[in-house]
Amino acid sequence: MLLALDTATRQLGLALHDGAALILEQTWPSDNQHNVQLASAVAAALERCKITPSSLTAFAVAIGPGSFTGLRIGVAAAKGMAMANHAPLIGVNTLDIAAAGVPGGGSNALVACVAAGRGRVVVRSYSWRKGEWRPRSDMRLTDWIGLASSIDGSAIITGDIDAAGLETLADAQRQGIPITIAPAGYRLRRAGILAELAWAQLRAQSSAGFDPAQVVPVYVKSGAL
Amino acid sequence: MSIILGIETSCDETAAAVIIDGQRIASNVVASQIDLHAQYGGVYPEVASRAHVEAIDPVVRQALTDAALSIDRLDAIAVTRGPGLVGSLLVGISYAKGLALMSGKPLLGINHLEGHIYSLWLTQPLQEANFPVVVLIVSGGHTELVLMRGHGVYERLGGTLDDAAGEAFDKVGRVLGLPFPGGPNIQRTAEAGQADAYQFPRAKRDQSFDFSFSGLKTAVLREVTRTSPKGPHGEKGVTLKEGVSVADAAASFQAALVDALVEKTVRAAQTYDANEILLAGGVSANALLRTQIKNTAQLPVRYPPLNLCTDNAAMIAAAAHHRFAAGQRDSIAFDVLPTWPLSRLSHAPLDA
Repeated sequence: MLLALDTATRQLGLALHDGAALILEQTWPSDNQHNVQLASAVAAALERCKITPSSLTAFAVAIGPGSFTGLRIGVAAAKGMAMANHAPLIGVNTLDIAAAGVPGGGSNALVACVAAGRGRVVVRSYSWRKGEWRPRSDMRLTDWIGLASSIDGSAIITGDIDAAGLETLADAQRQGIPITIAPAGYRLRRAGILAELAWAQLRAQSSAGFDPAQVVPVYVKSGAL
Repeated sequence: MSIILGIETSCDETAAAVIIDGQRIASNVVASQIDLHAQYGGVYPEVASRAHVEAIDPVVRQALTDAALSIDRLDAIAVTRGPGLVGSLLVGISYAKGLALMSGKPLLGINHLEGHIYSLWLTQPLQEANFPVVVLIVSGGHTELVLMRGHGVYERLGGTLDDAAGEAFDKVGRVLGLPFPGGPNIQRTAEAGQADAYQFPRAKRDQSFDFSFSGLKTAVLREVTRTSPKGPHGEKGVTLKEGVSVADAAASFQAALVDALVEKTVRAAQTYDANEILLAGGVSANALLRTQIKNTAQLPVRYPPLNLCTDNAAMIAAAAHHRFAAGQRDSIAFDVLPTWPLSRLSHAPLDA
């Protein structure tokens, strides 16, 4: 059983996934209460699913981009958990989680967004290849106008899009920029998807390759990352 | 009997230790970030938080390996809850919560200042305090004068109104062109200097037990430096006046600061009929402070061994021992307390 934690932004997400099925998934707006809420939410989730802590054999955590404090809480807590259970810890990029939540089959280009505070957003472009969204750019820090003006060709936009972002992107659509805003149900970044991506990594390589000490947050600075 | 894992990340040291019965050190691991912060001349909070995330896992593993213990042998996990840098504290707290939740071990959130006090109990053989005692906690982040009437019973008598004593050492060290951290480097430099070369102010000569060191710092700055033309990036230029002896300035500054610490601490001990004076914290490693307080006070003076003066996790586990024995168990939902005066700790006596 794998436990996935996402504290990268104001929302808090957790999921339990046994490799075959997603057992539980929760996402709620935690604001700045990650430290207070995370451990007891995990305890409650385990109890609800009648899963003992010691039966967790793998952990996954969103490593950013995101809030520096949120990332440190999630990564440090996940390291402590993995240490206690002698289990592997898989770190997954927050933008990759956001992208993987959108089904393929529509446009073959996608831009995932993670809120970076003060009206800014970290974005990364993906293209649909061989049944999955694969990164086709580096991460970059921008704002909504910068994002809208950088779109060349049709693209789906997903991830953290606040009210100002929805407005700016709708304006861009009216000006003929061929973007599609992913439906709200797909935009929400999900710990269940994080768990899926982590399982895929675990299956691809032996768990000895996932030393918890090696997992570090992705810190986004202005300019290049 | 208790076996407690302590975790400490309140400032710029990532530390973990295993302590038996609040007294015997089974392991004590400290990963210092001094080299990382030296380029800034002080602790850079974001840099500290990042370094903790990278160091916490290897440091805790090393502490358990050194103690030759597995997690299931532990009775409790103790972590510094405050006071300190919030981003740094959260790393240790989050890690400890994860560890406690998965292992089912009790979790205790410990006050960092109380930890410094309990570094005095990490002695072989155990030396119990002869209460009431006056404790001077002096470090880079804290300068606190505390009356301790029993285990866990604290009355704050005073503290710094501006810079902590160790912070004053760092800032003056920087002015004198000495490397970070200022304390040990000023002490070393002062050995070759005359302590009466400059008459620096002895800060707050009043009847309170509060300290103030920013005036002293400014006096040193005014005495030994002059402003010079701005640098290529417009930075304010401050250079030492010609003919200034760095050793004399260091010795005179150190003497002024130590005078202030000793006067208030000894007077507090007399006022409250203390049986002992205890020193703790990084600045308690200062040789002049140790000697002068011993010579001035007509009381026994004790201080921790040098390696336990600066931040460490052994002291956190030692403080936790008394609280664990008294039945304290904290919820895994506890919040970080970046500001947490000792006087807000439980006043109920703890069974030793």
